[in-house]
Amino acid sequence: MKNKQKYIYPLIAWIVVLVIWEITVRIFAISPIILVPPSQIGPVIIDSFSVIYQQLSFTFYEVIIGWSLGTLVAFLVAVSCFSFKSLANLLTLAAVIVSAVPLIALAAILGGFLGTGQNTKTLLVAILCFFPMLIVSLSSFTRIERSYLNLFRTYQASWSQRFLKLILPQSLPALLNTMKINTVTALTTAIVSEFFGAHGGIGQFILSRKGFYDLPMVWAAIFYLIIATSIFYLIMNMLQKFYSHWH
Amino acid sequence: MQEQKSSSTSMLVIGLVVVVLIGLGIVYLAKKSPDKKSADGKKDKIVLQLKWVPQAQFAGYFVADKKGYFADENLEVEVRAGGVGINPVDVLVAGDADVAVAWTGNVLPAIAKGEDIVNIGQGFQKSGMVLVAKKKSGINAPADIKSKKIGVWAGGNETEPFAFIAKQGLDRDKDVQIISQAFDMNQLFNDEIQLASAMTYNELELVYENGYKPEDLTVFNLDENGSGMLQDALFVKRDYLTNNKDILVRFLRASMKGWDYAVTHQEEAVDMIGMDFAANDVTARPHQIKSMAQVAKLTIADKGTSEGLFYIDQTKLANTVSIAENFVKEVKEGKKIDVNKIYTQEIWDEARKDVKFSDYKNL
Amino acid sequence: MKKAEPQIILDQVGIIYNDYKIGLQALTDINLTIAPGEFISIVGPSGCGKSTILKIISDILDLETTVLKGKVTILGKTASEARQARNVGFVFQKPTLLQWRTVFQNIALPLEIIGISKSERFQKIENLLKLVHLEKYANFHPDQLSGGMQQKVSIARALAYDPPILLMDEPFAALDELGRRQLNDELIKIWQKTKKTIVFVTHSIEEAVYLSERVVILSKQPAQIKKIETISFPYPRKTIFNDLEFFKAITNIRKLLENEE
Repeated sequence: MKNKQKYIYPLIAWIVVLVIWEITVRIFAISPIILVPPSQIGPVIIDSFSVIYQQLSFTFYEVIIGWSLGTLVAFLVAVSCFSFKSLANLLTLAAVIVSAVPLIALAAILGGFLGTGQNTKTLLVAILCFFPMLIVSLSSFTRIERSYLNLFRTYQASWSQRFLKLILPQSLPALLNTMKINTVTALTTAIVSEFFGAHGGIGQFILSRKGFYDLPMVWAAIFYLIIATSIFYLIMNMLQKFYSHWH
Repeated sequence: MQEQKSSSTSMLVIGLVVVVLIGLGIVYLAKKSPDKKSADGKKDKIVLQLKWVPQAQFAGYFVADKKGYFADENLEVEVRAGGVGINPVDVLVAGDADVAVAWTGNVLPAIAKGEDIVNIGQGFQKSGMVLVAKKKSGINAPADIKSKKIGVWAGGNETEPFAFIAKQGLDRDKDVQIISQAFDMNQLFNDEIQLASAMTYNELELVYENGYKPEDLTVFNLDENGSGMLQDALFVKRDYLTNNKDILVRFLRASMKGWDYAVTHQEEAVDMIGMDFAANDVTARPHQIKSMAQVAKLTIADKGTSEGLFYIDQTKLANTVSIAENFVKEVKEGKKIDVNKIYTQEIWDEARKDVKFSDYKNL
Repeated sequence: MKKAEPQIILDQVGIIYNDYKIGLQALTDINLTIAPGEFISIVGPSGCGKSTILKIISDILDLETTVLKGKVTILGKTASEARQARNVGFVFQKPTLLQWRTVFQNIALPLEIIGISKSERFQKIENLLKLVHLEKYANFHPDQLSGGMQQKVSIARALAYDPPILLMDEPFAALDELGRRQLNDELIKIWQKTKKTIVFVTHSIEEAVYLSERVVILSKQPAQIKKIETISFPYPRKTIFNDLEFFKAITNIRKLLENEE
């Protein structure tokens, strides 16, 4: 009964939204190059799955490889240098400064000498995931309470024991959270960077279809994009929930 | 249980109200038109949306502003820059601008979707677009582009290259590889693409500036090749045209004067754009001065000299429409376009009366 | 007294803080010998450096900000050697439990680090849980336990690797009166069973008198040992609250401290 309610109300809400959308577009005769009604988008969603899937998988290659690479390298860098306080501080400062460079500028600079292919976009995603992950890793690794460190000192624990049994598990919630937020960063980065020259991908697909006012296709692409993004985000969310439940 | 049910029901109602309000908000924003009067209420206000960022391509409008030609016509013109993701046609249709500088190739697909947009003055008398390849890549004639990588600027600037490809009897989805081009020419320089889109007044100059000699390059001039479309025309929505003929006449008259001055005082015009000149890219002053020379050529070409600036050459416009309908599937599949309904000479005729154009023959 | 060879010797020990912000805080001329199996408490005005003495003994002093003077001998070794030999257990003011581990896993922590086999670990932890009466809570997480129970887990954990010396830094300060009394009694039982040497820092004179055989009274900054009181009531001391002598001892110490404030 309760479960049924949980699904029925959002479903009703969505149907109502779609109906209002449809009616609004028709009553106010909104230009088809500004907004199209759901009734025009629906069939395109069904018909163009394979076309959009091809573009989506192009972009998600950039997203997933870049995200994994950026996250992993940032983690390893943080692990290998957080014990050196001044180095860690310096790195954090550098990371904050680089993070302030706008994505657009970074995309243009990288595109200039590495080209606009899939690997450049992947690298760009990796860079944009790297810095937040580095900052959060360093700050959570170095922000362990003194008494815990003293406790491990009385146990005569080795560096790796201290890291694996204290610092890592203590930092994991923050790290997982950053990884989750980075899924969205990765996706935005990949899509926006495709606006500045690309060999394929959903970002340039949307841009070029928009150029021909093919709005049903644009909306269909956004529809699949939302689904794919949600899946990625939900997987990370589940991982985070699973972890916090387990511990 | 009862309480919970009623609370979710009220949540649902609140949610729906919010959605309806947002919907109405969007419609309101889409329908509203910009203020018609300047802040002091004395001048008529007009919003001009540019095709791209301020550069020599739009010099005449900035000259008209700086030299007070707009003010002389009792106009306050707000010039809005374009950029990545800004399609002037979208801005115009949404009612956020009164006049848009747009490419006919970008307007025709919207007209084919049923939009009623009208050309009131033709800025450039021919297409400034070329496709450029290194001879090394084996491209010497249009037929050589088969299975090559071709760069296009995604988002409404692809119609002319697409027409060019189709004109060679090639299918753009199968016979060539379309790459989305960045706003520099690096993809061509590092051989990521073999054929690149370029404007005579910008990227082509940039290619030469990077040390390439004309003899190293194959340049397809789209206008000469029969796949070029008219560019940089002033477009308005029909309802705006119907209600604001007088304002548009004044606006076009001031623009004519601005462009006449820009064409005849090129360096001075470049300095009036208000650009932050950079050291050594397309925004550098020397580049913009070269660019201005090319822009002037497009402006005074053909009927631009014989009839006057902004003249709409019906034959050329009809030719543009027929190219789009024959070679661009998005236009072909849409509504049939009646050339006579997409332009009006009336504004130009009226504006021209009080303008004395310079003699461009000696330029 | 029964004590023979001293187990902990502090000889002219002093502390100077490098950090200008802490400035004057310091210990001077601390001379103290503690016998094996002794229960000794340290009281003093707040901020005088009671806890610092524990840090000196356990060799967890932050040497970036402090300079240690004098000589520390523990079981005939330096403090650092004693720490490396895991001769000292520490119970902090806060339970410092790992939130993601169960009670059982928290007690297992030092044993895992030492590298004791799983089966041996199991046996030891079972015994420790019994010692602190937490058998039923083995699979609970720290946040499911009361503050007192958490501190018992912390004590069990410190005892897990069987160090001869147990240092306790105001471990019951955060507990209510009743909970603290209860834990005091449990601690005495644990002490009697395990025969550990306990050095106990507290700001409660009553707690110090109730628990220990000797009470060290520190003066205010720069802290010196003002007096060492011997408390000779027999254990268990549950009936001590009816004893006027108990309150006299407390009042004595309080007077000494009041002169310091």
